[in-house]
Amino acid sequence: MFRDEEITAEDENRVIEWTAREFHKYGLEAAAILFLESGKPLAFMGSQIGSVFVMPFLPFFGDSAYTKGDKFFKVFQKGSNLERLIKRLEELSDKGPENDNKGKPEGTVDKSGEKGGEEKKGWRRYLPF
Amino acid sequence: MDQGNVPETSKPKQPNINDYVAGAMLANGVVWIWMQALSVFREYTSQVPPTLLADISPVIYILGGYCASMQVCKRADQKHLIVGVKLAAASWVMGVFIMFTLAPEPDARLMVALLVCFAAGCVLGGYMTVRARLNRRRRVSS
Repeated sequence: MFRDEEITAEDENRVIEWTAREFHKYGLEAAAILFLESGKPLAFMGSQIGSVFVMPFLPFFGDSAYTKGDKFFKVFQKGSNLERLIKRLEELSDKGPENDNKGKPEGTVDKSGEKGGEEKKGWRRYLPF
Repeated sequence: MDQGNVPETSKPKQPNINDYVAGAMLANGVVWIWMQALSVFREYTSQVPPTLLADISPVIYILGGYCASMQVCKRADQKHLIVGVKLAAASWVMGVFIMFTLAPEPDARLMVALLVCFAAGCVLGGYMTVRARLNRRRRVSS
């Protein structure tokens, strides 16, 4: 049950990239940056709390979930990795939404009339920005 | 304030105490204007169902916190959530102070409502500031 695997730099990069991509997929970059910037000093404590209270339930979701969760908490117990995640989120945000032009031919004009613009879903359609 | 001469290695900008006090005054100003409007325009507001007015009031309080938070968070480069929470606390303290000095009988329920609404409004303001910053970055980079 207790694993003392060393986290390599490659593992760190992979976990940070995966986390950033997940946030980006759901358009949550702004919310993530807001909370991560403010919660950075609590990274170690949050990671320890996660390890104690969340890790015991991860084996129910399979062995890979447990391994991933273990790496996740180990990577994000360092404030420097949170800083890297924030930077990566900002980079992904600069590129725009993930499915912006997916499946559309070049130069397609979307519903909003903007070329390659962000197509808003759900309640966000009513926001003017 | 001339920001053109600030070197790139300078510390991230954070609001000072004056900014928080100004933000708290702005948030409470909106609340105060709403309360004064209710009594000054009683002729008209008496025709509106009281429950509707009671429902609108929290929205006005949130709007006050939001406007103040947007202004104060503009002066921060990072930690917008903490700035929002600090501003909500400052606004609430100022609101309670105003209530104790003006109202003959301070209302505990109004105090709790103010705290919750200011917190919601200020966090929302911080979020929208981060969103606006990311959108600006995206426009610049594209």
